[in-house]
Amino acid sequence: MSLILDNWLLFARGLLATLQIGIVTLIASTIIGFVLGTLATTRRRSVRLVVRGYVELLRAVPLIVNIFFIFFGAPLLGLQMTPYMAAVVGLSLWGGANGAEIVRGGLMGVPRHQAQSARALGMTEVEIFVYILLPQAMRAIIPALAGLLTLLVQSTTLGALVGVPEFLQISRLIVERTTVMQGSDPAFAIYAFVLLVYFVLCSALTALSRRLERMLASGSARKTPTMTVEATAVS
Amino acid sequence: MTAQPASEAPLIAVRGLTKRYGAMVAIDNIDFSVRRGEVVSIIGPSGSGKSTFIRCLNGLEIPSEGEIAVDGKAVPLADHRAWTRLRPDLGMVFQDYSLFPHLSVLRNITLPPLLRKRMKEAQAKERAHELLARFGLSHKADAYPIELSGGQQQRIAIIRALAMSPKALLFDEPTSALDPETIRDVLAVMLELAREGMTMIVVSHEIGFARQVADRLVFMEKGRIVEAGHPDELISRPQSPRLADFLRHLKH
Amino acid sequence: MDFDPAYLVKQLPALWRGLLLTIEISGLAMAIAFVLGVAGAMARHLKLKGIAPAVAFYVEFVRNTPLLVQMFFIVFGLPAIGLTLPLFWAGVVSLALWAAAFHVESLRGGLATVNGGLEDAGQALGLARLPFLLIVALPLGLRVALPSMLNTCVSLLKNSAMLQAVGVMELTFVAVDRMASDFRMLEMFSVMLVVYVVLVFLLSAVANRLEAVMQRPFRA
Repeated sequence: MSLILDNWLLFARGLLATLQIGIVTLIASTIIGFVLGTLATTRRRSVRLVVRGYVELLRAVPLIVNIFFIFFGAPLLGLQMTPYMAAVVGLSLWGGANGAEIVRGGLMGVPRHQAQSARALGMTEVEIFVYILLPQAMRAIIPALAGLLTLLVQSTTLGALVGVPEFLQISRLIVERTTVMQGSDPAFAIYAFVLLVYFVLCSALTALSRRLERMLASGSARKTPTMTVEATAVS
Repeated sequence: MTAQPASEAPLIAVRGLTKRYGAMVAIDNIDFSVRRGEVVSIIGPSGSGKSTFIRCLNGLEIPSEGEIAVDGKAVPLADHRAWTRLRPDLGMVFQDYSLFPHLSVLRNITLPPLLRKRMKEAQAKERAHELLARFGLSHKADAYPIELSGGQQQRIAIIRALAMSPKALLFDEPTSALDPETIRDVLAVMLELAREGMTMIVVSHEIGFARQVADRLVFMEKGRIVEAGHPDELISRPQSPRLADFLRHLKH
Repeated sequence: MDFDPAYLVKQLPALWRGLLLTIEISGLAMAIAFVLGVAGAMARHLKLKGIAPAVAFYVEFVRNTPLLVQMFFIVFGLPAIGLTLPLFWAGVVSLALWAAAFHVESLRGGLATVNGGLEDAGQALGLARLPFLLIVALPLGLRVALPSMLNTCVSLLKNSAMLQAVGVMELTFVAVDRMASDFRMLEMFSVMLVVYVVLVFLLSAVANRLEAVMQRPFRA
């Protein structure tokens, strides 16, 4: 216990970095997700295929390999990436693929006749998207994106493997330092503590996601089929 | 619309209309026209292409071949924008009402004119309230679709179409998803519109409605118009055995 | 940097050993996870006193903590209090425990779809709860749960790459190790890309096949 109190500032800094990466990557994933998810519902087959390819590729390759790829691969293109940047880019590309599936699913969940009747009323495709499809899809998209945040926060730990000073990495350093300086191995206590902190944090985020889902599902408007992203996608 | 169109000129004129899905021919070379103020009922067995046919009229299905002219102007079939411009002129009412569930009744009615007609918000609202009052639905202005019965939703859908000041209304099986009690309310609205001289094309199996209101009854089968004529005439003396058969089934 | 096939060929034996380890660990973990998942779901379904809530908490805990931290805890944390597993088994166990939690959730959902009418019929036939669960509910529930359980298996395979971090010399470990020592990024990434895509594709194909087979008796 004293070990945790002694190092609380370091832990706090790590946790802050974790949250920061989680939020930054959520924003980036959301943007990528909306762009690609929308493109995935267009009439153009070629566009849909490209999006499909992106999504399938990023979901087939382990996320950790993806992050290594960016970290080690960027210099090949003459880019220098800090570990932090590599983690953010890798997580965002991966989150964007998941975001695209979320947005696509949300849009496809809106009944077909909605677009048709809007079309019969003379709305343009853009207007139909903005006024009819998107507002209805949001009710499924928002809770799913909150769920994605939980996954992203969990996945920031992979940043530790390229040396990002996030919560797990800091904890790992504290374990090493304590082992060397005090000669006793505090790994059990420290990693139990780390698990607990993540559990509290992610449970809160999961609860938020479920709450959003319930909130958006009730209300006076008709219930559109809701879709939750299962947390199985972590990889 | 500068020149007064001759009263006999058809509002909607269709020639050689064909719609294919791959090798399947859904609409087979149909010639058809509707005069201003005319009410046409289309009947036919399921799969006869009647729904596809009226969906071709406002480009919800793009015809494979043929010519369509609305109010004397030919529509370029492949031009999506032209269709988008044209559609408000031909209001459409669907089987499943298709109100927008995330918008209130009032907003359902005002959104399309606000977008298309560049109407002022106040003006659009005024018109919506006027229409709601006329059909006895004023008290539902702030309700959401889910709070309404099927019949009420369908009447709102008709009002929504009317708010665009269409030249004609297309009905795609407007009562087939409704309870028998509420069908009457919807038919009453349609009847009133017909009496006022609204041009209407109605795909429906409501033979009573056709008899009472329609100027012309059209029987379709296998993507073709098999028979057409005055409803009483057609119903009492069907020429083709297929129509006779169909009518017998309807009665039972 | 150019792609050097000769270098790749020289590294093939080591990569092959890594790949075998990846497959071995994943396969074992999948088998253990399946057994644990079924047991956990049954405990929850039968509302076993004490066990059912514990399983529920376990599932929530695993789903709301990062797998990598779970691995660190099992590989580095447990030995600190004297619970040492061989590294290979520590890897298998960490993946199995993770996937089991997701299996429990999937199966619980599947079991919930077995309707009360069947249960009544079972009782009328004199089936007690456990035999009913084993003979009727479980096979039906498994069918429903199968797609998402197979999805978890695909994730498990991909997540085995994280074992690189705790020093298990599986495929990613070998590839990253060569990158760090020889700077042959292009070759190693090509290998990882191809291998994981192919593995995931194969597993998905097996999954689809299995799903089709399981659905068959329901068709006319």
